[in-house]
Amino acid sequence: MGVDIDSCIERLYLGQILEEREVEQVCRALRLLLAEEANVVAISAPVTVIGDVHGQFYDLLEIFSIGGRCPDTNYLFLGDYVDRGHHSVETISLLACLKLRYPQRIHLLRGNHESRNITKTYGFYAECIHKYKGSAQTWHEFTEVFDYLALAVTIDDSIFCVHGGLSPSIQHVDQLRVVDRFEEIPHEGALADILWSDPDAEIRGFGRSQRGAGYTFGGDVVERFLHINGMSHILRAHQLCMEGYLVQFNDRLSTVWSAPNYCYRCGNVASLLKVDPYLQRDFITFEAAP
Amino acid sequence: MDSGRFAESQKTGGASNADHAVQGTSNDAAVSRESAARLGYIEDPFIGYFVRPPQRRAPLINRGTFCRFHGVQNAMCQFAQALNATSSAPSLPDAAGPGQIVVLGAGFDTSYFILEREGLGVGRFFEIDFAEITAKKAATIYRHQPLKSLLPKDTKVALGGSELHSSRYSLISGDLREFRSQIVPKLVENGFDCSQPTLFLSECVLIYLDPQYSDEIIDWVTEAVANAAILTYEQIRPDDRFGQMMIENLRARQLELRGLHAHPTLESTSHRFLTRGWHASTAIDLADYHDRCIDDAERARLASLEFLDEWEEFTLLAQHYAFTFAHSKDAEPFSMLNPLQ
Repeated sequence: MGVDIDSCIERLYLGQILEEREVEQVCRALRLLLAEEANVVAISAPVTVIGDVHGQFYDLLEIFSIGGRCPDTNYLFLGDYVDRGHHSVETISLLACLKLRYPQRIHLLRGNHESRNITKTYGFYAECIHKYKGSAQTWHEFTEVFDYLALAVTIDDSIFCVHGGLSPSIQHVDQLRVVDRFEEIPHEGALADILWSDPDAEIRGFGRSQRGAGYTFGGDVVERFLHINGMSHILRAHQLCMEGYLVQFNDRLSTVWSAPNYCYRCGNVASLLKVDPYLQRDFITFEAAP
Repeated sequence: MDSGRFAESQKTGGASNADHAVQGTSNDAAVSRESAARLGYIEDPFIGYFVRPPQRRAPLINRGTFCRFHGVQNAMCQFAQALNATSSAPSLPDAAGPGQIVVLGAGFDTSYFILEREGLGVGRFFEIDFAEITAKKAATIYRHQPLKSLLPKDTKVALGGSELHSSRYSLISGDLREFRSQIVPKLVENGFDCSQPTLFLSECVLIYLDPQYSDEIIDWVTEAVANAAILTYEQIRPDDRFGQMMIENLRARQLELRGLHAHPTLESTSHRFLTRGWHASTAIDLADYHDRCIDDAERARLASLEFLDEWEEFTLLAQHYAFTFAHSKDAEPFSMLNPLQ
C-alpha cells in the first residue's frame, strides 16, 4: 500500500482530512480487505459496541477517550457513520484507516446510511463535494467501500449484532451468510430489512414500517430468532434513544445510540456498550463534546 | 428585550440586534417553504420569488413544513369557502366582500397570492411586519408580474415603499409591540371592518413577543372584533431536554421565545383564549397533526418524495410545535370550521 496509514490516522485524530489520493488508496486497500470478510463475522468479547455516530466526529473522539483508543480496546461499530453531522468525512476516514490498520480490533457493520441514495439526501455527498473542492471522487470511493461492509457480527456465538433488525426472510443466521451483499442497498429483501427494521413492543410478528423500508418486529420474533439460532441477545442501533440506549423484550434486545445531542438539536444523551468476557453488558452514557 | 433597550432602539430609530434576529426568521421560514415547494411537498408557486439563494432542507424539516403549511392553508381555505357559502351578494372584482384575514408577522408568506389564484380571496387581506421586511416584500412583489398581477387594480405603494394599500389587500409596516398605537390605526385607515368575521394568523410570531405585548393584541381582538378567530402555530414544551436545547440553539442566534414559558403546553395555549371569554379553543401538536390530520394517501405521497429516515427525530421536533385554533363567538362561519381535524 502506497499510503502511510499511521500518518493518516495521526492527522485524522487531529481532525485533518486526508488528501483525495490518500482516500482513494485507503478505500482501494480496504475493499480488498473487506472482500475477505464474511457477511456475518464471528468475534469474541471483550468488545465495546458503538451505535450511530452520524458524522459527529468530536463525539467519536469522546467515545475513544471514554472507551480507550483502538487497538487498546476492541470495537464494534453498528453502522451509520455518515450523514446529518458536520464531519462525516473525518468520521468515516478515521474509522476506515483504523480498520485497515487494526483489522481484528475494530469491526464496522453497514448501516442504512452507508448507501449512495441516502447519502445524497442526508448530507455526506454534499460534505464530500464541499471538503474536496467540488470533486465527488471521495464520495464514490467511500460508497464503494460501503458495499463491502459486513452485515452482522456474532459475539461468542451468543450475541447477534446488526444495524437495524430482523427480517421475515431470515430465520436462521446461515441464511444471512449466503446473501450477496456486494451492492447498493436494495429497497426490499433481506439486506434492506437487516439495515432498516425496528423492534416494536406493541406488535406480534412483523409489521409495516413507517420508514418505507424494512419492517417492524415484535418480541415473539426476537424470541423465535434467538431460540432457533441458540443465541441470547440482539444488539442493534438505528433508532434515536433520548437516554442513549434502550433495553427491550425482557432484556433480549438492546438499542445503542452513540450520537449525543443528535443533529445538535435533540438534547439526547448517548452511550457505548461494554461487553465483558462473560458477556455481561454495561452501558456507559455520555453527553455531547463541548 | 426589556423596555429600557426598547426605548433606546426607538430613539436611535433603528432595530436592535434582537429585532434583526427575529426578522431573520422570515428568511428561514421562506427558505423552508421554498425547499418544500421545490421538492413537491406543497404547492406554492410564489415563494421562490422571495428566496435567494434556495437551499434544500433536511427531509424532516420538509415534512414539518408540509404539516405547517397544510394546517394554515386548511384554516384559510375553510374560512374562505364558508364565507362564499354564506355570502349572498355576487362578488365584484376589487369590491370588498365578506371576511377578513390578518397575518401577524407575515414575513414573506404567500397565502394571499395562493388564495387569489384559487379564487378564494376573502374580502380584505392584511399583512403586518417590520418595515424592513414589508419594504423587501413590496419590492419583490412589484418586480414579478405573477405576483403583481394578483394585486387589486387599485393598489398603491405607500410610505416610501414599505406599504401597499388597496381595497382588498394591505401590506402594513409596524411593530407588533405597538399594536394599539401603531398598528390598529393603520388597519382602520386601510378599511379594517370590526364587524366582519376575521381570521388572525400567527405563525411563530406571538411567541417572540413578551406576553404583555401578545396579550395586548389578543385583548384588542377580544374587545374590538365582533367575530374573531385565531390560528397560531408556535413552539411548546420548553421543559424537556429537546425543549431546552431548542431554546439554547435559538438563544445562540439571539432569538428568545419570550412567550414560551407563559404558554408552554397545549392546555395553556388554549387557556389564554378561554380565560378571555372566547367561545372555543382547540390545540394539537404537529406530531399528532401529522398522524391524525394527514390521510394515508397523502403520507404515502410524501414518502415517495424523500425517504424520511429519522422518525424519532421528526416526532421529537414535531411535538414541540403546536397549532391552536380559537374563535371568540359561537357564530358562523367559525363555529362551522374544524381546521385541526
